[in-house]
Amino acid sequence: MARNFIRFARSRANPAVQVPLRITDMSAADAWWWDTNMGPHHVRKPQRADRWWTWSVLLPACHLIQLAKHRYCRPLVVWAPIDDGRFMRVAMSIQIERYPHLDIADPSDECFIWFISAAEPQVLTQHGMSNPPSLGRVLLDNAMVLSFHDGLEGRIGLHAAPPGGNDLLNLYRRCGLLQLPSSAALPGDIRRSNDGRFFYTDADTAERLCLSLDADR
Amino acid sequence: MKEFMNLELSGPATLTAVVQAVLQLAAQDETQIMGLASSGKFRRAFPFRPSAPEREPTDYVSGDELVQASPGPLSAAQRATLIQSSMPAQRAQGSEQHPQSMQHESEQAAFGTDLVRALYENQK
Repeated sequence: MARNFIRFARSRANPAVQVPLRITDMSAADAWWWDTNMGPHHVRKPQRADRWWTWSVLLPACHLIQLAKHRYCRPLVVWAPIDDGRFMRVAMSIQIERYPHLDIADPSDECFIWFISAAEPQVLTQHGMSNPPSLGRVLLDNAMVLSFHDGLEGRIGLHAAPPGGNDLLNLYRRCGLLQLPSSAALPGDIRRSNDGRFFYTDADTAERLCLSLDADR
Repeated sequence: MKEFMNLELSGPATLTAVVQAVLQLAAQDETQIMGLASSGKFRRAFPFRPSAPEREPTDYVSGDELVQASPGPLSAAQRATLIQSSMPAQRAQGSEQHPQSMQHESEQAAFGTDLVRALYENQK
């Protein structure tokens, strides 16, 4: 089934409130804005895995690194409205199209979520957003939608950045992703040992997760 | 906030330096590269020095102004546009192409095109 990106997400503060969303391709201006406006807040949070990520450097670098590997990146920006109806950037992500599936028993490719970052809700509130959206499922869904459209049946994968600790692992578990056992072998493209922080969806899991959000597309 | 963006890098962003950095980074896997980024060392490994865009991006825009991303695979032309749009408008001093003297968007676009071409040339 060809799905579109999500158009609504639940408010973090009040799940009964549906927050409109827009998804756009990421440009250097978006990355610059994020570094300038969100970076200084993130750098003060030691528990944030993205504390030191500089998107204005990462964005062109990721494109070029993947070109060198004969793959393509698909960076996206998620926008949500402040109270006067205008939209602001609330999340950023860089996906890699057609990455080897983390579950090596399945020879398919997947959409690999490389970098993923959501704004602090308190910062969004300071910008005049009374209902910051819940963004975890949205960011994962975006990758699954790209995967479906690419013929990969919603398969995605990611590595939870170690600085995110157990909180990040628990977030991905709550979002419904499958956790690759730490005893599992990794695809040949990944040279590191399996630290138990890899997550993925198979086709059935992706279909189930996306189906639960289809009303919000 | 400016100091967050203007950290000095060890090397100038010449075309050659950028291509070498890309190839060195491409020898690592994605989790290793994310590790570099998470430890704050990525900027040293990739000699781009982003500077402020000519037009400062606005904080807020109307929904009508936002172009919704396509969930489908992009065409070659769309990919090229997307990659080009990721390139910083200006670069550090020391480039063989003197990007700091680039006055027009077409010149800046040419730097990005040359960069991608140089990358492919190095792979041959």
